[in-house]
Amino acid sequence: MAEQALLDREDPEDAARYRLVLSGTIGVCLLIFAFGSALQSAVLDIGGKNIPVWHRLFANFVALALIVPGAWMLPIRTMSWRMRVPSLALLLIVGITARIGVERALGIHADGKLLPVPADTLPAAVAGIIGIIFGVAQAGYQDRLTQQARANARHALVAASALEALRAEERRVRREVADGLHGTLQQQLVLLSTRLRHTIDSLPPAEPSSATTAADLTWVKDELDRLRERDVRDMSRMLYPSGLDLGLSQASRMMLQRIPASIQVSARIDESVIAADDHSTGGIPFDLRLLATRVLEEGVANALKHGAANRLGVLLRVDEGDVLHIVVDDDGVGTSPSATESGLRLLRERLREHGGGLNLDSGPLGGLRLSADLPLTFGPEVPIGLSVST
Amino acid sequence: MQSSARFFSLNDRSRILSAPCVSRWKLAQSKRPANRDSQETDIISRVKAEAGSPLRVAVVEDHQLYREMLVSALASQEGIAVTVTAAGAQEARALISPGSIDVAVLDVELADGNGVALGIQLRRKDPNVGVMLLSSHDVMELLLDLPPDVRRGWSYLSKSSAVSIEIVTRALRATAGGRTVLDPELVHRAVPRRGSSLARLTPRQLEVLQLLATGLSNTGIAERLEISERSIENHLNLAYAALDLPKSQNSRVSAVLRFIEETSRG
Repeated sequence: MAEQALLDREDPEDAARYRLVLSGTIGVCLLIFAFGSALQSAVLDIGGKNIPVWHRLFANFVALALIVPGAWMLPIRTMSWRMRVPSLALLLIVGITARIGVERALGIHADGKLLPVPADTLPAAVAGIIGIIFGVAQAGYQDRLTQQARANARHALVAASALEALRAEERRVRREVADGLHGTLQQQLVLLSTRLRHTIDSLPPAEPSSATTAADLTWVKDELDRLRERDVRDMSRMLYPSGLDLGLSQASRMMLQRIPASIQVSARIDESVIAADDHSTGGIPFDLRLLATRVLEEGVANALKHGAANRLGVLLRVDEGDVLHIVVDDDGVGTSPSATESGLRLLRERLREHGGGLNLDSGPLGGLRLSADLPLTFGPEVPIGLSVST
Repeated sequence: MQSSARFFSLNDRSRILSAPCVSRWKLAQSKRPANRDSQETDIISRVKAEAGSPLRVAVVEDHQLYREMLVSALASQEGIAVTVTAAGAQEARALISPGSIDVAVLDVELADGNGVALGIQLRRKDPNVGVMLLSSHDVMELLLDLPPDVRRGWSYLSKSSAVSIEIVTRALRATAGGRTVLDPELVHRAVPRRGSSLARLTPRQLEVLQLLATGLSNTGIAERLEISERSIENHLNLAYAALDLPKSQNSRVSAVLRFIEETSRG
């Protein structure tokens, strides 16, 4: 059902290709027979009448000149087999009859009578049948291959646009939740904190119990502020790192900027990253940007938390093969890879899903070096010439 | 009323364009000694102000309320004329023709595009236009990834820090004059990163650089710190040397970009 629908939308090119393969194959088969049989008859001198070889050739070519254009013109491709067989048989009979006619007119066969059919008609007919069967088989095979390729391409397109829709949805949800945390929740917490402050201020100062209540409430208020300032903001960033919309370079710079000033950071974000993330050409897909930002975050967090680093070296670069390389060096105590492995295991798996990888090794700054590779063009290729029409 | 005002401003414009200092500024754009530009760009703003020609501003912002408030606040300022308002990138591209504005105020997160990309386009069509970016998040790093050919005259103000309309106006003038202005609140919150070239500056040099980053001219910095303009120049020259800025580019702009690159703002 679905395949029929696909066939209905076919290209006019398909019909032309079918015709060309059919008539071409028949033409080649018959051409070989035309030369072969004419030469054979002339050499063996069948009938013993010294008939010139081009007379026989001419008769064969007349048949060929009828059958090949006939195969070209008849709409064989769209016919059912019940129509195809008689049509092709008729074509063959026309060709054979014309051949006999010409042979008689040129005196190849004596006495000009219509019957009996000359003896060399049978091999000619067999050659014609073989040629036609071969042509139909060849054209049908080519046609199926094309259809298969087209169907595959359509499936790939459908899969790609489904993936794109999923990516867009993930992005939307992340963004909405992050905005909710950043906006609504934060504001609610500000209001709560303000209200607490007012309550603390309005406690009657003279009563001795007020002092402890005020201290308690102040503690609650401070906790609330800390929660709002740090946890909620961090969570919002975790869902949707700031600057992600603006590009990987921006998201990375913003993340690195937040590292405390007491940590020495030498970061190099290569021009190639900015070039690969050019908005006008689509840039790096959202999920890859997010993954790359995660890798960088994890690398920095690991160095600071587990490695107690004072100095970081960060490099982002896209190589000629469109693979993003992320390197984070630190001068920390170089925790054995197994200690930090658990946090990185998930990221490594995700990188592998995208055809990349992650490595922890000892680095040039004295601590660890985290290096990750992420191919930016990976996954089902959409063939050139087919575009998503949505 | 409107047409006569327009005629007047056109007339003034031709006068300004023929003024020798402007042609000197244009000439100096290609080949300019590092520290002269601030005074020269100040001259333009001053000439403009004296000639009565208002600074022509385009406001591109997709939040209607914010846009309207900004436009009316700017319109109330003397010497500022909001000549174009647009709700999106596409509309802005259609409305702004080269030579029609002096500075564009662009929201970074527009509904139909990105304010940075729009700014780059506007600048490439009109090399004299200044671009001021506005954002509700701290996205100052945007200025670091600008292509080298459009790096001058970009400013950044945060919507969330409490900026007054006077600060916006001052920043607009400086931006139109080719300077790079950063959000004052973010600048004062920024701490130089350990081990960076910025950390090598003396406290005084850093202070001068911070004020420079907020868009003050040398005269403005001198007034603020109550020291002579000459010593401001000295501080800046020493700071530029300590930062080892690229010789080929405008030192004021490079210094501000270095400031963004080598600070943490928590």
